[in-house]
Amino acid sequence: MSPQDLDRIRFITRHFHSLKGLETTVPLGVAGLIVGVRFFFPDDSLFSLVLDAACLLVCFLLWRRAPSYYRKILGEVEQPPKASFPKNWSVYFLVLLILALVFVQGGWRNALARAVLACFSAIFLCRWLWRDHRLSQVHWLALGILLLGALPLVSWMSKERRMELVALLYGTALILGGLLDHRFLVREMGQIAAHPATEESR
Amino acid sequence: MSTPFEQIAGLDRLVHEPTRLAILTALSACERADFLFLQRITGLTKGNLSSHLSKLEAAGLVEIEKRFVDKKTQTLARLTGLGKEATEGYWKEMEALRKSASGWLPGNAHPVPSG
Repeated sequence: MSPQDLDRIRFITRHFHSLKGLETTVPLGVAGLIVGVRFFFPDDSLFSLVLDAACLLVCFLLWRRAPSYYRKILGEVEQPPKASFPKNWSVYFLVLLILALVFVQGGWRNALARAVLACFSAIFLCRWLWRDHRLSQVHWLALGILLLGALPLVSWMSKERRMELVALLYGTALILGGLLDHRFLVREMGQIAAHPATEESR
Repeated sequence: MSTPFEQIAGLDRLVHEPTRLAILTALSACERADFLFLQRITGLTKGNLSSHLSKLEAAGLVEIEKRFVDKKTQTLARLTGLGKEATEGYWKEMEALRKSASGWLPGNAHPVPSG
């Protein structure tokens, strides 16, 4: 067991909850993507409604089933309060985005679209910093920078489509980040299992 | 002043053993963890993990708790106050050992009195 292995064990244990990407991050991303697609490509056909319903069902199933999936394959860790990354921020901003899409009109809406995108970007960057700004977690930094880079793109879009684009970008980024987190967690724990701690000395 | 070799000999063997150190490291990074997680994170078999946890529990470093979840027994382990002290103390000793070893020269060695 090398010092790197011990460091990896400490990191995974400390960030176990936020690394479970399929539990909260991916369902939130799917929800954001559905909202974005629904408003970006308005379509009242039956097919579109069925597709939305199917995506929402996937989102709901992931949210409901992922905790027991992780519990069964990787076990459980209890963290002291405030030790894990506050996931609620993403939820608050998604609610804010949906409310803005439905109720806010005119110039305020465009300013809000840029502000919300900047906030999402800040959340992603904070998540990278929260995870000890490790190279293995650099996808959150990359996604945060990509969202920041998309700010001019939002300005170029027609005024009616800006918030919808933000929802699309946010959803896609969250899905990508969540899947990468999940891949990292499963792969790292599999690697440790493949090279177990020495068992000869008892 | 003791040599690095004497410092190594003075390390707590219960904590210094790599498998138990891995278990203690995982437990020091959380409030408590269940048996399956510890098995996955250390890559140990059930029997080996159970044996090491028993040793740590007997030494008072770890506290084991069993509860029922979905009609199945779940075993949870947590670090006791003594366990936290022992783990932190171990890392302090290792740091001191690293510092003294970096400045140590073979000429500084003095024979250990026999008997």
